[in-house]
Amino acid sequence: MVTPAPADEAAVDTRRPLRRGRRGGRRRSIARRLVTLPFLLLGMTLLMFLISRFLPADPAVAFLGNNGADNQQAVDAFNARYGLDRPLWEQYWIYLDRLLHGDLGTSISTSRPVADELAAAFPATLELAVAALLISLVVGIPLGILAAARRSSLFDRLTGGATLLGVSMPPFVLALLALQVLYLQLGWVAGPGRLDPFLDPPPTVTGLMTIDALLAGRPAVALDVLHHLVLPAVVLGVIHGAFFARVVRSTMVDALRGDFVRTARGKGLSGRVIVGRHAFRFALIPTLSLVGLTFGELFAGAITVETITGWPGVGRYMYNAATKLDFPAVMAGTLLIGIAYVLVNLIVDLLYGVADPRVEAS
Amino acid sequence: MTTEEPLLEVRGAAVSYRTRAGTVTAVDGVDLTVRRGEIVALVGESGCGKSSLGRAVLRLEPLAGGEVRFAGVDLGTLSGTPLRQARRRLQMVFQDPQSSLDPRRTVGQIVERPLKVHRAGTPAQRRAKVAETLDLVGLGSRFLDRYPAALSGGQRQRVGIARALVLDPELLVCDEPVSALDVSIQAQILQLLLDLRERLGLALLFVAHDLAVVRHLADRVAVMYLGRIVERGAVDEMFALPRHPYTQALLSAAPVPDVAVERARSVPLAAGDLPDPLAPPSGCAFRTRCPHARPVCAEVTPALVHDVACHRQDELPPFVSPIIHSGG
Amino acid sequence: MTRPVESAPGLRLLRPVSPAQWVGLSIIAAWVLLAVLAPLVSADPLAQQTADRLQAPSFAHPFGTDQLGRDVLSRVLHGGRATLPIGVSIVLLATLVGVPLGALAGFVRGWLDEAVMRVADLLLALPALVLALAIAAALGPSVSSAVIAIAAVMWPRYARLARGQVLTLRQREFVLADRATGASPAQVLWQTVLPNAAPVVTLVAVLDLGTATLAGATLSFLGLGVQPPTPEWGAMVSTAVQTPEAWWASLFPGFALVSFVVAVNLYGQVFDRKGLGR
Repeated sequence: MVTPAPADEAAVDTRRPLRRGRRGGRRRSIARRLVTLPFLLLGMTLLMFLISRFLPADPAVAFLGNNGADNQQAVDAFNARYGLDRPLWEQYWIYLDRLLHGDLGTSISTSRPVADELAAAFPATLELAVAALLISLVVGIPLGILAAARRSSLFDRLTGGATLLGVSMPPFVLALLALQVLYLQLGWVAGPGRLDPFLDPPPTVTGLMTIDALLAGRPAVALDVLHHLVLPAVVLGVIHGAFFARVVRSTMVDALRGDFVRTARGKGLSGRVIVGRHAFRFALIPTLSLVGLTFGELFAGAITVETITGWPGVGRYMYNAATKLDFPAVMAGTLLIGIAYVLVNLIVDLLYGVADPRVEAS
Repeated sequence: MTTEEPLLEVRGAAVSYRTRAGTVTAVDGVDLTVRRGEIVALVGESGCGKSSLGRAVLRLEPLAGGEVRFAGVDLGTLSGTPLRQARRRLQMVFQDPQSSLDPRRTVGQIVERPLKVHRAGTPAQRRAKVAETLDLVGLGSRFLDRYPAALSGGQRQRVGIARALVLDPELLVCDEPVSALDVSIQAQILQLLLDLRERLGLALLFVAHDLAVVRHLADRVAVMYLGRIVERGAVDEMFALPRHPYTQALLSAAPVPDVAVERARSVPLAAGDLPDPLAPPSGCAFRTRCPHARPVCAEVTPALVHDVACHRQDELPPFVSPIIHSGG
Repeated sequence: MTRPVESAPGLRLLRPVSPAQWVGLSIIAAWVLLAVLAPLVSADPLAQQTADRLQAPSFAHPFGTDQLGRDVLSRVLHGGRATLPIGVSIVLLATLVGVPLGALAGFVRGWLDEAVMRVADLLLALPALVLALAIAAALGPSVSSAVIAIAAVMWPRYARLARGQVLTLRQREFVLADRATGASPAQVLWQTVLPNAAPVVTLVAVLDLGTATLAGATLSFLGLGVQPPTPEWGAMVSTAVQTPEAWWASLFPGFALVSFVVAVNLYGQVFDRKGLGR
């Protein structure tokens, strides 16, 4: 699930900015998104409820583990607590009620509340995702522009090959490769974890440890966190950078064929100005609209990448939960990532609507 | 063709579409009959509702009002299997032979399809019938395994006709079957349809936008304007003496071989385009383009009187048909 | 004046046209061939030689040995026998569920359309692999649950595709012509509309093989798919993570996976550029 899902959105999106009357349409679509948001979130909880209620052969075993399920008392308590003997809608209602009170269940493997564990892990994943996104944009957009500007050149072909490799690369393979080369062979990056165990973590303000360290006035700590962050962030950043490079290139190539570029040429503007000032803008906008979608891939990629590089985020938590068949943890983690993904997408679209340069351009 | 029950009888037919901008009444209270072995042409500009009516006859589109009786049976009362059975007896030939043939089927499969749909005969019988029908339309069995993409426009339309004929229908609804073809091919296809009528006793409801096309084909003609019939009658009479201003306009619009007549032609009878069907003009729909319009035309919708729907049919100046005077 | 008899239109879509596509197709074919022939050309992938644990690549073991002393080359060759069919099964299952649902939704419209598409929207609104992980975990770790889980998040893609195709095709005149012959709605949909949607659906399904294979290997990597000791590329990487010093044990199966996905994407590139099937 690495790239094709956003890729087809790209094919749709790239043509959008050239259409007239789009701003009104986008505003309407944002309004619609806001209206459907509660339904989407509700639908997600329903989906999770149905999966956890119907898919496992025995919910009691799934939630309590084999040991717990041997204990009849525990099973009865479990059934009573979740109302498994009551009508389905009532069970869903109980499930929702628990969710709203922040009760995501108890981890089978650690016996701690899943909500607490996820709350501790989520900021690390967000920090990783944001760092990876920045890297991917910084790598991908210039590559795509340069490749489009020198279409069919050697550079374009090499970039094409490299980015094809990038989008075909499972994050876990690249993470392993990077771990081998950057950490084990070259020692350029720090190993597993988020912070050197001998350093004290900064007081939590934003949850993003690099920023928290800077806020606490401890640049050394920030640097150390960064040192740990580099490996997973580069791995995810490179893969998605390859994706962005391909999107930007194809959009630019389309844009350079467009009427306004011909007009600009007719006005005597140089190729560089055209690429830099005009086509760039048209290529950038659709790319930015894919940022929200990319987060879904980043969250998914985080599962394997965090595991391999030892970054203590939701991904690694999900991996551990999945391998130990810690069912409540997996379900809660999925729901958290799902909600985060939907919200991030909404925010990106809102920002995108605000920053829409078509107003300025017209 | 005397007192015999008509094969097709359309009474007060109405067809309407819901669009984003509102409801369009494409066909509004049309009466029409086709007798066995008769060719009736339905003529009008595109958008006048003639194709909708043709499709509504086959119940490919629902009627918003009125009824369609085929061989005495009200098709509107049929649905499901009886309707599909009835469709064996009235088939359709489409306008664009390119898009009306399934690109994934060979000619043989296309022509066999109606037989398969109706589970008619054994495979061997079906093969024989397909070959026979292809011969009938002037295509040999060598076309059996070709795909439509490999055929010319005229050949495709012959396939379309073969598909409609293979079930031995009594009525063929032809929706502008030649308008997408080259002029040289048009005559061939029209001749084919005439031959088929001769040999099979077929009745045809022939939809066209051009009066000239139907002149040597049809027995009777009905002219439609914005969903209504404005004039109808025997083809010779109508060409000799068109009585509705719109029919006159259509005849004037036909190409004239004689330059002198072309020059002498009176002022354009029908200036402008078809009005917005969402908001048709009040009264007589044609009044916005009619050179003879009077205030009454905006107030009262004219009914068909003596087969002409015009308030002023008795006051109009005599029409000089350019075709007749051309001597060709 | 007629051109000679030709093949059914549509399937031509899949014929490779560029050198890059031929390269991609050749690599795919090579992997399929190797997977089929693995038992003949390679050693037993399960044979453990405790003395030879974690041997670096050598003449005897070109890809080295893993932590149980098994020959990595043999395991990579046999791994294709698990990894590749899983990818194919995922796409097949997703297509078999998604295409009829989407086609029916687009043909019948109404509440069915609404229901199917809302469920599809919901599934597409979640990160696919994460949801697949949850479903696979719920079903319990096994090959079939990995296939079902990924197909469960992929079918909406085909439902949307098939629905879009049907919505376009049902406007075409030959579909109207089919109704006019007296064909029932079911006959029109399954015998006339769907066959015309098939080329595009097939194309997308073939291009999705890379994604599906990757997803299947990822679930195996996460321990939810193929179970040890059966060799499978993702699972092999997963096991080898514990012995990072023996890079060969993880990187060779990893590269096998990447080369296959690259090959599929190489083959699909041209279609992407033409905007086909997306």
